[in-house]
Amino acid sequence: MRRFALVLAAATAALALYLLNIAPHATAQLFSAPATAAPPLRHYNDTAERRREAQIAATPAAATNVTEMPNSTDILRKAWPMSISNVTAVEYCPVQTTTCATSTPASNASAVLTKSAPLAQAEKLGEGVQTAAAVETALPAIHLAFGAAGVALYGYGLYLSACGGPVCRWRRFRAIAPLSAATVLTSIALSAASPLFLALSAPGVWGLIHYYRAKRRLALWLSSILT
Amino acid sequence: MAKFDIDVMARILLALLQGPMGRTALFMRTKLNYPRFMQYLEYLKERGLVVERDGAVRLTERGLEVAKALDKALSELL
Repeated sequence: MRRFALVLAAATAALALYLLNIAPHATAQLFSAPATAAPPLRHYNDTAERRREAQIAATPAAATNVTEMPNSTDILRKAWPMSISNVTAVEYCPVQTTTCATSTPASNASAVLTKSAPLAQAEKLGEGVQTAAAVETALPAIHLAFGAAGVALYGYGLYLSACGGPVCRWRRFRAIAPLSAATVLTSIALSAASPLFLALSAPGVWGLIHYYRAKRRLALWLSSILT
Repeated sequence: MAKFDIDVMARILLALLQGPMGRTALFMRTKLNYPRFMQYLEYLKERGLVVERDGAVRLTERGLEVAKALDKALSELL
């Protein structure tokens, strides 16, 4: 039962990680649904309207400072300039996230936005942010399909392995295949978050190889008996 | 000749390892349609692995050996 337990544990871990990973995406999509239905372009040029204070460092190394806005529902679709302590920066909120970023050009200190051209740069940055947001929403869609397939196979594997009696051994042996495939698929789905998650597919690949080799050996043995 | 699936063979042999079983009960366990189940049963009877006696399907001595060997192989594989 060691091999079956290993495959089951790997599949469960991969599935749990996958579900933990998609939970923030699902929540963000849920909260951004009204914003996508009626997308108003909102510009906040008045600093008094902002709900938080941006922490801007003067040094270029710490120029980008990401701050959470936990209770905000203002999902902004544009970037806008702001000025705090004589440093002009651009603050933007990507579409479908609740995280706002304050950034000054980090390449060198002299590239801090000047008062003459903040809007153009802000618009440019806003476009970049919107493109990045579009890519961010497109990637999970592909990986969600892998994840959904993994979840379905995991369910089938659990159904096969929940049994008793002598036939149960055969069912658990058969369950190795869908559980291993579920591990591989969910790890591929997780690779969108980090390529390191692909390492989770190792027990899945091993399980699949083990299953097909063992099944072939059993078939050869049984056919030698039956003929 | 129809092709026989190792999966169904294993299920029949392992189910009969528990003890003799009525034909209908065995048919229900295999989850096949009845004509196909009868093909499997005839095939196993021809090979001397099962026998039908007193209205129950049971393993022969050889069938018992094979079923036990299969069970042992599975416990090693798992």
